[in-house]
Amino acid sequence: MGALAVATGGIGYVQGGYVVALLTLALYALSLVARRRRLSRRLPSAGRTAPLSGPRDGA
Amino acid sequence: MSVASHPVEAVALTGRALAPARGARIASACGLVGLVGVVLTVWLGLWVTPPDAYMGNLVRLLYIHPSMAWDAFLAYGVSFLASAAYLWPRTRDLRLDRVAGASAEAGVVFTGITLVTGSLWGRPTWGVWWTWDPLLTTTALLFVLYLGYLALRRLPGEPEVRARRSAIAALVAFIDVPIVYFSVSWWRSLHQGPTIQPGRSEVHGSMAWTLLLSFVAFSLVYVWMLAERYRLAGLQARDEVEGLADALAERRAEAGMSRAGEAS
Amino acid sequence: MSVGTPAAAPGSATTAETGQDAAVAALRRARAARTRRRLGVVGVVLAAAVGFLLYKALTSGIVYFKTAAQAVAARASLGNATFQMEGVVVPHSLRSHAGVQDFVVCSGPVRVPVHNVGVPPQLFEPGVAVVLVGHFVGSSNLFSSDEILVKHSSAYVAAHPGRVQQGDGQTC
Repeated sequence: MGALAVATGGIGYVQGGYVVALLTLALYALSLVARRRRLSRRLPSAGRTAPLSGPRDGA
Repeated sequence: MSVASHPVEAVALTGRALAPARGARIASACGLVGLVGVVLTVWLGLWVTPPDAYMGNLVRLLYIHPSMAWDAFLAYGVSFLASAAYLWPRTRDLRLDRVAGASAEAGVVFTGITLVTGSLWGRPTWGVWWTWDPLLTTTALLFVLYLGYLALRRLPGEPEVRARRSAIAALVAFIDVPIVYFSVSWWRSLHQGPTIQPGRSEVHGSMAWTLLLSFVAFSLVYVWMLAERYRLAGLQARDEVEGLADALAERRAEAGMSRAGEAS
Repeated sequence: MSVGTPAAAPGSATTAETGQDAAVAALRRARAARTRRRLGVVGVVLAAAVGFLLYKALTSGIVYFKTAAQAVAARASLGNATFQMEGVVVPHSLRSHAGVQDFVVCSGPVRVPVHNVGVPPQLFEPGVAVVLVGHFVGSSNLFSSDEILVKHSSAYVAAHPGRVQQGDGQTC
């Protein structure tokens, strides 16, 4: 009973934990990159080359 | 974009990143080092470190679960500071609002993972997937509170109004963070005390530094996530206004056509 | 620091654009109303969840368990009510057979005999601290439980036996 049973039987929970954590982070990261790329394409002047002009610039 | 009206300009102005090139480079570096660290953590955690005398292989969740909880705290802490800085008149800046929102979202992701991995760890060790222990209950509360915060951020309104109410909500939600942390010492709990405590370490040998590595690696991943989400938030703010400008242009085109129809 | 005027400020329209701007404003209002309705539903659900969790925190959370010593001290008022009791499984006291375990838990000098029906967690063994869900039987000090939760410490050492967390009561 105890440690011996866990040493063999518990590994499924461990693997499950690693998979859930890493997969969730990876999917979230990929979704961030994909959404940013899509928006960058749609907004052609993205980033620091934004067309700033007129008296409001540098406010 | 044919409509060079002033709303577009205003948001382009506020949507500008702090120091885009340098910030992006630092974020990428953090992401890369973090990724390498995570790979190392997984390798050490699953293959190199020894099984625990009592828990056996179940101890390997030690290299995932606590660092997720730590990242959630870190993320909510950053969100809290950015929100407080936003409310402070001298540092008021919509970019801080975006930092707060971006960080809170990362915090929700980490809290979710904390709850799931904790459940997966609790079932074979404690014997239950879930129990209404003070730490578990207040952590679930944390998750729901920040989900509410993220929902509140989406409520329509003028940018300043939204930023202000979001900042206040972030300060309120943060109250639960110290409660979660101290719950194990304030109340009787099934959950063990914090694994990492100042001046006290009960983790030995390669297990200890693998644990430390997991904290560093996942913290760097958090920094990358924050930076990436912040950039996305800037683009979204612009898109919100330019999307309206598109709608305006569309309406004009429609109006022009209908006028042409009347004329003929 | 000053930030730009809020998007699409009402004053920004020139006279010629007024008609179209009004149309866009109407469109924006419609979108905003739809978002508000959706978020209203989300808000109600989340508020209910917060309320439920606060209730749980204030009922189960604050007094998650009584130690065996506290339970015995409050024996009369506890009656046969179900609660959670914590203690350390006394070594050599465990007799288990066919889904039933009889053992003794201690909390300081206090000892409570336990009759548990069910499958204990993998980590359950003599010497560990446990939280038991159950009740006292009749007017005796026998505790009848149907769930065992194993408490473990935050100490992790490779191959070093006997590092099991003692109960909140003193060692015994």
